[in-house]
Amino acid sequence: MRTSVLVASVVAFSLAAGASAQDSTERLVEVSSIGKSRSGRTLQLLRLGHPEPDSLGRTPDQRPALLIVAGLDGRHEVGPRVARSLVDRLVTKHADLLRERTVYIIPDLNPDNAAFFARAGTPKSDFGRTIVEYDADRDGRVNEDPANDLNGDGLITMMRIKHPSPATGLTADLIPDPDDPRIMRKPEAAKGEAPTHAVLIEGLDADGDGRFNEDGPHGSAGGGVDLNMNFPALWPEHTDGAGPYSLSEPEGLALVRWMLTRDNIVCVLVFGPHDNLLNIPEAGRNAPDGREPLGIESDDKAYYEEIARVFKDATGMTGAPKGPDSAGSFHQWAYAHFGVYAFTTPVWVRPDLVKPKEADKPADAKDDAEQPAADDAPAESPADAIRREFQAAGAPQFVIDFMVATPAERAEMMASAQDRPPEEQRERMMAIMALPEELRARVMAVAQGQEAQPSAPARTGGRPQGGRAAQGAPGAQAAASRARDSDDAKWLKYSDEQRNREGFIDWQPFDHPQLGPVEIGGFVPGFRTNPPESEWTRLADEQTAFAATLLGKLPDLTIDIHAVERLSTGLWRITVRGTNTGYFPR
Amino acid sequence: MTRAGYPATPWRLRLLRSLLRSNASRAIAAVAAALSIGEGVAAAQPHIDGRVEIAFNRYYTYPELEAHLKSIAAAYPDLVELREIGRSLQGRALWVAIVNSPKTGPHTSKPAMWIDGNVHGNEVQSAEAVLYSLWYLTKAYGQVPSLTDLLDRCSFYFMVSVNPDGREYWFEEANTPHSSRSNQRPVDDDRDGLFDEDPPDDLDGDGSITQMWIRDPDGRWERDRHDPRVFRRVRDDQRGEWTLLGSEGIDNDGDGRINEDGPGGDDMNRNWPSGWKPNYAQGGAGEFPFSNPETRAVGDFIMAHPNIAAGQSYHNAGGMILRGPGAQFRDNFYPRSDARVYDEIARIGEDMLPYYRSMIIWRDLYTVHGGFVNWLAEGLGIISFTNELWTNARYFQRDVSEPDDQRMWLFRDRLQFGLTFKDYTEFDHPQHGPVLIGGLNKWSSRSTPTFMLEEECHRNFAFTMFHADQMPLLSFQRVETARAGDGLWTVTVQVRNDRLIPSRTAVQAQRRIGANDLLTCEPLGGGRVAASGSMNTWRDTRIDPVPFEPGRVQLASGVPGRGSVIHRFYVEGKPGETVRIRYTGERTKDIETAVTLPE
Repeated sequence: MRTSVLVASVVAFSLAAGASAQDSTERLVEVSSIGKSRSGRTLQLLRLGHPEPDSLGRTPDQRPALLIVAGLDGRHEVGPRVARSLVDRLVTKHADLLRERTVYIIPDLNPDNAAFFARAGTPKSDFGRTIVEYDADRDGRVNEDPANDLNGDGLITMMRIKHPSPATGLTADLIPDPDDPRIMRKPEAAKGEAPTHAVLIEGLDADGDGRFNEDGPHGSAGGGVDLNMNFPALWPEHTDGAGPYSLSEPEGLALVRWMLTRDNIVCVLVFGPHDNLLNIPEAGRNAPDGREPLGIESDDKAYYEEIARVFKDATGMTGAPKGPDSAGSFHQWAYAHFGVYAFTTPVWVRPDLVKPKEADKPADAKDDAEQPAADDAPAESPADAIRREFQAAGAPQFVIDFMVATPAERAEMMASAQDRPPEEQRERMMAIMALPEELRARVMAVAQGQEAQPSAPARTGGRPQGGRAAQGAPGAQAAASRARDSDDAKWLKYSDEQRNREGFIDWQPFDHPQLGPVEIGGFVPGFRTNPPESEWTRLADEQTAFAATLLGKLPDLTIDIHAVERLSTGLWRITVRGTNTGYFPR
Repeated sequence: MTRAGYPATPWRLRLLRSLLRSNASRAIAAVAAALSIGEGVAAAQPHIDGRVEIAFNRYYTYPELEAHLKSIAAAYPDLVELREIGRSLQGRALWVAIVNSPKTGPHTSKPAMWIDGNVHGNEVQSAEAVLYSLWYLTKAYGQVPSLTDLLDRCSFYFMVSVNPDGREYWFEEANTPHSSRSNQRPVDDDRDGLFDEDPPDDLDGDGSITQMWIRDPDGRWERDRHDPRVFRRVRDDQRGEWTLLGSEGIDNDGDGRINEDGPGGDDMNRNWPSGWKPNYAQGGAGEFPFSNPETRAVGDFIMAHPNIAAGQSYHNAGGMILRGPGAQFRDNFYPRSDARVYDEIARIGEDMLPYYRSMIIWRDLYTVHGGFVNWLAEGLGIISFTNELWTNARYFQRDVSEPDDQRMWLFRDRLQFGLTFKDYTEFDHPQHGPVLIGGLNKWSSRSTPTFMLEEECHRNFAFTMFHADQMPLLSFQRVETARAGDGLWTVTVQVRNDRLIPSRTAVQAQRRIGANDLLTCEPLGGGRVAASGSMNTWRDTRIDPVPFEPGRVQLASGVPGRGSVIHRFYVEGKPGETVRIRYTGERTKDIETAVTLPE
């Protein structure tokens, strides 16, 4: 089953390489498969490692290994692409590491999704699940009401309906934000605002049940299984997208079965919608059974923090969306059931969440007026400035994390703070009160949302039949006064200023056959997930550097005879010393 | 179908059944039965003959069980389809006997009950209980009116053994009453890199793993001088002579421990998806849900049969009628209306099964994650029980639940004639030197004493038939049409469920499990349903409108147990137009009627 093939044919996008490099990469990469997708597509496995035995006589499958998995979510196109581009980079730049270590790469665990959207005439949409027939609305009809590309622009975006007629069954619950009417948000009744619009995914009520796009692919609430909700760790049973049982999908099952045969995998890196590097999982809390960790074990926290530091160094990221809940995700399974350190990153984040490199920074770049603590060192990002200032004042790490967090993260932190034990909450309060007055005031201002900086956008959009699969529209924002600082607003700013407005389809009138006059528009599917072409090289280089660092930190064991002592006639004491030469515990 | 020696000939049965179903009273039917079937069913005794004779005062190995399954399937080809749903890890066929009366429709068109046993290999009588149920139900069809009616409206899926490898290992190899619970997938229990390398050993060759005792000046036990079978703990101020070493066996792998890594390891009643937890949180869980070929085969079959509305799994021992949840924090999977159904079935069960008690797994037994009936109940919303067959209270029946040792020796000696005990014999143990080996053998507890097995099987079979009879039974209780205006009629429909289990359980409704039931109204002459809505009573003057698809009404909660739903359709049509009304659901037999719009 395993076959070595020319790397050039395997890695079609491989960089130009000299003949000798080509030779060595060819030897270092072995291509095989862990199984097949539901539709029978090969789930490719690339193994990177010197084939000849290492200094301890180990074959690649016996050496400590890093497993990289991408493409669990079909929307995350950046993952598979970067995962593939790591092959060539690791083999050419880090061949030395591959003598005593192995890297397994599964670049695309959900190839059916990509193939589905590659079909001619299929509109692009925010739908990353597996392609499987499923009666999402339990009405006895399967996939009968998918989203529809009504305006024929090749995209499934959103529809907003002003003052929907009662006959439609829709209720207006949003308003366009006065500051930027592209953004839809919840009205603030206390300020005299009344809802005017309902927002739906673009499409028809194909089955006439009064609900739109509730059963079928393309960014609606139903259909398919989210692979990252289908693993057995904290499997979110009976949740839309979780599947009928854990590992119901052949792709996830193949991955788990293969991993259970590979006891040399000691670390996992996932490219996907979740982040646990900028958002370190909560430590020390268990599921109601009392044994299974909800995040990570307390003893592992320091390792996650250190790897997070390394990751930030490699990528310059200062923040990242945490992504969906990790219940049922692959990385949670790899950590809590398979028992290895498992990291996950979206690879690409909005540029304002990345520390600009000196060389990249335009000479006339100005700090964003909204960002706090503008300082006079132009090379220092606001987040770094905060870090420096607060560190100098001896602030504890959680305060610094809080101050440099994105609004969404901050909301998350504040929500989860209430779950902490009362002693810890008290302790934290004391730590904040102990800060110098000026800093304390800033922390409190941010905490109370008075600060001009960002606040938390609502987790899910105000969609009447909302589903987590869709991200296409500006979601309803939690509070009116902060809408312009919301995540959506930042994406719009990025689209407007740096991407030639290509990220957002402006709302355009459309005569809907069932709803009458509506407007269709919203974020372009994938715009907020996948980078522009110009970013690929940087991202591949960053992740290569990070993967190489991880590789150097894998645990490994050397054994040497420490002492041989003669105790008596024919009786010897041999003391053996085993040393973990890596960084991670074994 | 007519065969010599079977007095209950078909025409007589047809006559009997038609009488029973006609408007003639039951009394007349009984008289007719007595007259027409003089030598048969109603003649002298409630015994009924079958085409296959199986003794239920003994136990069967898996090949013997398979032979019985095949002979029943061969004897009742119209009723039984024996289907191999997969193979065990060691390659044994996994059989499901599908029992159905095809003349009333395919088995998938009716509510069905799943009944299995023996997922724990050592819990042997659970397989006989399932075999008995299959045997009795097939021979009763056509001879016992109530069971004939039941099988005419329901179907059954019987699986005698979910764990044939564990059963065979228990029968063929030396074991205790408690060993061979798991399947035979090798698991490295002591985590030394070797698999199943230090099992117990049948050193005295009696077919059981018994106990090893060693003479020990520091021992805390003495042998009874009148009855050397009995070891008795000495008082604190006395010196004993013996120490219990544990189960019969040697240190096979030389690691200084005895019997620490025996065969198998996965407890297949912890390998199901609902609330599944990994091995460190739930011992025996397996690698992931459905990781074993046996559980996967069962899971695939059950998921492919959404008509299953009731479930029963047999285990031993303890005399329990168990329901979920297996863990306290999953209590919210049993909404109150479902809990009432469980309670009522179990309450009747306590009467049918003397010395059995109705219990909730986590509260009254122990916490279980990923159990089978928990998956049925919480994952699929199927009303399901686990019965723990046999309880010590039945040894003497008048007694308290746990007879003392002296009473037990009376039972063993006088009722079982000593067959459950192996006399202690000297053995020269490679690690311990001279030891005594002997004691109670694998048949000495948990399994029902053979002479009481048939009764245990019958009572449990009867309990499951009662449970099955509570599966939803729908009918149109009342359908009325009335003119409501020019070209407009109302068609009001009341659908009744005469049984205890709702057509969709509350957990199905709450967790969105399975497809909603459908009540449809189709004018067949070009008319249309203009509006519709539900009503609480016939006296209601207003409806709770269904805003969309008024002629195709989805009922997430189905029809409640022993209750009904009333729905009114407003039909635009023509006088004389036929309107078809249908009620369909995954766990009900579809029903259909038609009305004509009056002048």
